[in-house]
Amino acid sequence: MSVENAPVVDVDEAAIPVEKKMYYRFESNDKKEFRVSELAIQQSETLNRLVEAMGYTSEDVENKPAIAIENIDGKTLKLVFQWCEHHKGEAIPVDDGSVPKIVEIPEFDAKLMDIDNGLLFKLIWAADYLNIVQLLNVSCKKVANMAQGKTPAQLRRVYLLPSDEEDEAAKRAAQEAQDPRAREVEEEFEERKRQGGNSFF
Amino acid sequence: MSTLLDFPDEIAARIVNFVGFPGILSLHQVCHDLRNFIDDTKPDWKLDSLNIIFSREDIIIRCIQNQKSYTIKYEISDQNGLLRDLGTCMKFQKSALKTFTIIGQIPEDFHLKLGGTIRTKTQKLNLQVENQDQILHILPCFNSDVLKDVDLSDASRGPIEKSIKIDKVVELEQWKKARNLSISCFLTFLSSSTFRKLTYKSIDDSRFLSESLGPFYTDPYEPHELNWYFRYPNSEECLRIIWTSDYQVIVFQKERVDEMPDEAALQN
Repeated sequence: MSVENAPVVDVDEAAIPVEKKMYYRFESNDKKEFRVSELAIQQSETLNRLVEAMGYTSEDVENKPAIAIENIDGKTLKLVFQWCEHHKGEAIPVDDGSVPKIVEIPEFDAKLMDIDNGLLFKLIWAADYLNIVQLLNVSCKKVANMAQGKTPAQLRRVYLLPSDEEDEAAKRAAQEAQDPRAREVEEEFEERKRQGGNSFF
Repeated sequence: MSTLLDFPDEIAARIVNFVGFPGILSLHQVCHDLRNFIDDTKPDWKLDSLNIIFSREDIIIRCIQNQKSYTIKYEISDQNGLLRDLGTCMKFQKSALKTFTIIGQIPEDFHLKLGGTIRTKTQKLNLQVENQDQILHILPCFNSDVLKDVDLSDASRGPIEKSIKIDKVVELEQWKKARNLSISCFLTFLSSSTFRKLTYKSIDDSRFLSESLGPFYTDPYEPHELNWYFRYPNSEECLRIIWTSDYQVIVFQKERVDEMPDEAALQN
């Protein structure tokens, strides 16, 4: 895509030089291709550094293969880039590792994240991997909001977590699968106890 | 498909912190791993006040955090659930609470159970009790360096002039260090402490006060207040005793002698 055909970017022309308005091509791990504006890419620290390091010209973008993003699928990457395009040019919050106190979910983001939990969790993984701070904030906030007013049993379903009992059963099963002899020894011990034997050894 | 606990720690911590209070109380009960994770992240809830209100049907925890009020309701039979959540609340409360209140139809053994559950920094305690033992169970849970006000009131709803022994309570560090003590029932025993202000409620007869304390002073602008002033030996301070007919309250308050009204008599 040439510079002339690029959608109008609604930012101050003086602040963003004309040659900055270029696009990059990315490919998901299931071979879906996306064209993303450079300004949108700036929302992702990881991708921004990558394209800066590559130093592509507009011709390179068209002639060379799309940049592969190995561990994100097309469905998730589509959401990520939709988010980046919508929020391009916005200030990026400084991520100092602390949790921001107040995060509001804008209407656009709420609609974008009106998806099943599996996809939402993938979106969080992607936001973390691509280091998109504000997308990570809103997606984590959305997951947190899902917890409000729920009982522990409901939360287990929402967050796909086992109860203590299920967890213990699973751990026991895993242990037994690993060491069948341990189970046999235990059974033998129980049997001897039942028979009133004083010494096992 | 990944679960909450498959996320890197900093993401799971971000989500847990966004859940905040009181959602974390439920989150804390989901499973071992999540409970351990939350314990490790050590969130600070910065609650301002925590009130436990007992009624005939249910128990309510009402918390104020960041000027927002949160209510958590328990069945009256679910004391264990209440105590579990209170323990969690206190574990994640690093700053001092402004007030901690326990009122209503409190089951007899609750004070003992609560005493075994919580340790807290709180500035003001409002507590309804029926006997000294209940105070003895609860008061030691409060950090004596932080506790400034103790307001004890009568939970029995019995006769107003009910007496309560506090001979053991006055030995507690928390009682000695508190600056303002307020008690809504008569006491049979009282020892001195470092209080600035001590209030008794429900004293409805001023006659015996003037008989035993001597002539009183009344400020023309506060006609409902009777005042007595007594000098402390070798001190610039005096003890002011105030009885207010409006509220039937008697207050003992330390003041500086030079702040006394000129017309009032200072007794030795």
